[in-house]
Amino acid sequence: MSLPSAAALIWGAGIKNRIRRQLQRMRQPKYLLATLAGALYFWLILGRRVRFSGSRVQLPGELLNALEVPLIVAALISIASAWLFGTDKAELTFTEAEIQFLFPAPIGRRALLGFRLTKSLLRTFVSAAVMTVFSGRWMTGQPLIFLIGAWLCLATLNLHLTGAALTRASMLEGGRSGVKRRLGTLAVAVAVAAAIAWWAIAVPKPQLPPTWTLEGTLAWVNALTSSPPISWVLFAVRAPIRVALARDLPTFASALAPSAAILALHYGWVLSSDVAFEEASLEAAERRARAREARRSRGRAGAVGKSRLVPFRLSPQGPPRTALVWKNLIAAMRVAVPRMLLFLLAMGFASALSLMRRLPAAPVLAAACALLVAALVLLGPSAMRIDFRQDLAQMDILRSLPMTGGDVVWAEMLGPALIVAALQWALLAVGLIATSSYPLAGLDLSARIAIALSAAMLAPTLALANLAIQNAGVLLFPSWASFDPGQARGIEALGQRLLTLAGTLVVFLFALLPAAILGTVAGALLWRALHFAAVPVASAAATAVIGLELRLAIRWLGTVFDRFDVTAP
Amino acid sequence: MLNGAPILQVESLGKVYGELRAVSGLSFELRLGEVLGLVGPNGAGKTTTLRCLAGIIPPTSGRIVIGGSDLQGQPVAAKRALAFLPDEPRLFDYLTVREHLNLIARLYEVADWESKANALLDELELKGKEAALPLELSRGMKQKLSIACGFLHEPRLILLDEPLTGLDPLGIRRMKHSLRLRAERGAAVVLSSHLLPLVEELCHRILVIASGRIVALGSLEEIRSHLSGTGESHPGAQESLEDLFIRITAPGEAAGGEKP
Repeated sequence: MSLPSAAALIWGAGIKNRIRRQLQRMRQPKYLLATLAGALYFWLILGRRVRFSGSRVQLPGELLNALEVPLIVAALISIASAWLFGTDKAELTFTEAEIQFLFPAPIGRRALLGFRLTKSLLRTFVSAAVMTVFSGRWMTGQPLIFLIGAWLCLATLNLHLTGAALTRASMLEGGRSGVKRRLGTLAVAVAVAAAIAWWAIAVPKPQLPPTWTLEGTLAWVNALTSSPPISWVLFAVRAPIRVALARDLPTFASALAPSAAILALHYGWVLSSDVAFEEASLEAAERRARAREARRSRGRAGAVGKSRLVPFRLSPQGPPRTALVWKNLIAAMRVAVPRMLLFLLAMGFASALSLMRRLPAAPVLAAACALLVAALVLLGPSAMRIDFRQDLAQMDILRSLPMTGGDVVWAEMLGPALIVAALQWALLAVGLIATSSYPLAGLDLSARIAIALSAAMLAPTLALANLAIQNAGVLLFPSWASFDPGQARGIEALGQRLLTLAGTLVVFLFALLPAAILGTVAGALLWRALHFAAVPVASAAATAVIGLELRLAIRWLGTVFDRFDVTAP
Repeated sequence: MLNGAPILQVESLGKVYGELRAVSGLSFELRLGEVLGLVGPNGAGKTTTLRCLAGIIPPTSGRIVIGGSDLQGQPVAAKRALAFLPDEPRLFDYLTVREHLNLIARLYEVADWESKANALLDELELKGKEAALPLELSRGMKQKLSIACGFLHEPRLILLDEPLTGLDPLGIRRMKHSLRLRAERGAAVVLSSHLLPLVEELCHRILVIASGRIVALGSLEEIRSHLSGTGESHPGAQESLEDLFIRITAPGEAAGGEKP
């Protein structure tokens, strides 16, 4: 079998099997629902943008012309970076399977290189299509032309960067002989440098604009880059950009031929490289696989830090669930807390800045603390994934432990819940202390203490309820939280996230309803007699209701855990 | 040293995934000190069986009793007696070697765990790696850590799924010695492996399964004589487990192999 037919088989079968697998998955209602939700969202947000007919929304011509220069500059920066700071290794992106099957196959290395380049061209086409969806219509009003132009730009740039890497590797590999082999490339580089030098010394430049307005500056740069020899030097960069920005068929047609020729020349240039890329490509593929595996085993928690601190000494005697709490607190210290603290600092900083303009420092600080306490109820459990979300890959180990399902569920959630609670209590204390000597109309110190006490009860309980919902999602829909290959991708994954978010909010609000009603009623009844002292009583009542719900939920989740099938799709 | 009541009783174990019957009607017993080899072709249901025995996945039908406790009815008591060592070590990335052992010590309430842990670290050549995270260990060392975690609470029933994967020759020899030692001290072992010489060397009895069903159960001698009684074995020939395995699980292959 020739390589082109093998490549067609690999890509064709890959697409076919992916579609088939997706259709098979969609036989299960949960996957079907997720796919439909994702598709609906995709259509509502993006799909409607792609119309190849209809109204012609487009940027003004002057603006499109002005866009040419920044795009040229961006391309030149990429090219210069690749030549000056790019890798000296001839790393080409092959998958591990491609390396295993194609490298030892009776295929010439040029054919192998051709396979890789064709794959790049296909990938850049997909990227160009995405760009067209996002910007092709409103930019030029010609999505099809923009698609072809964007592809020519991306493909040419991609080939150039690959060629640069191979040339650098070739020079390093061959020393002087490598330099000899690359005389053509060097000659082009020297010619470009000479042309720029000649331009700088001998050629008259366009007159500087009288004032440096944006339009004037862009017009001057445009005139500068359009005059020879700069225009000759930039011709290869500018040609595909002109295709993408063409507003009508004649402009497109006149720009297409040189762009296609430049792409073909690049293809030939890269294909002519005789540098050994196999070893570096193999190393790169292994590196990517290791990184992927590390990401998968870590879940969404992030990299493990170097700290070896432990929260407390774990004695061998006592309830086993403490061991899981201890384990998760260690994980929090080594994986999640720094990110959580960064998140908190950013939130606090942003909220304090926005308030500080109008208010003095003490109430600003207190308000920022209050805002963070509330934010932690919703965002804390999402950020602190040190529970079943982290341990999904080790579910078989958790299932084999001598603990009841309810104990495991409780212990898994308690670690992150304690951390969120500690942060909330610390923030409440800071807020209270900051405003202790600051007079606030209608809120004396005892009233503030009552409010802080209420929040100290209610906020951690609400965060725990949120944690319970998120962990219930993992136990009920493990494949939605899994990192295994072959799980949801693309539209289905998007749908899963939307459904999870919507489901979490609905369940959260539904769970809060009885507590809110009881708390409000209790507060209203006691207000006359107790005033602000009624607030903690009402909060205690609401907390008790949520606590009862949590107790029932954890018992139920325990039975779900006991029935959890680690092998289920 | 085989003694006492069975530590493991499996009665009509069955496991179904959708339309696939992975395990069906599996019944056997295991006594303390006994090493049972679980062998079968790929997809025979070995890992599913081990996972059911470890309480990781619920069986669809049947009953598993470990140390007198029903795994379904009294899972905590049953699981306290066992250790499960999967083929791929499943470790917590953020816990060091010693913290893994500390965790196990608390989960199984191991008194004097530190001296036991030190002995295991010595035995499994993990000394000096106590503060290392799993990401800093080689594949073989991760496997050793997983084994150390499994052995720390001195389980009465050890379930091993391909335990030698990733170990070097010296590690394999030490692992065999460790298993033998634990069996001599009274632990029962279920060892699933494709390494038939290992199974032949270590196991008192062998359970051969194919397509989720038992196709042979007994000592190597018993299986040999059973096959000879049914005319499937060569009379007088001392066939290896490999020969018997192929004869039982792929008769066509065995017949093909004998053709000139």
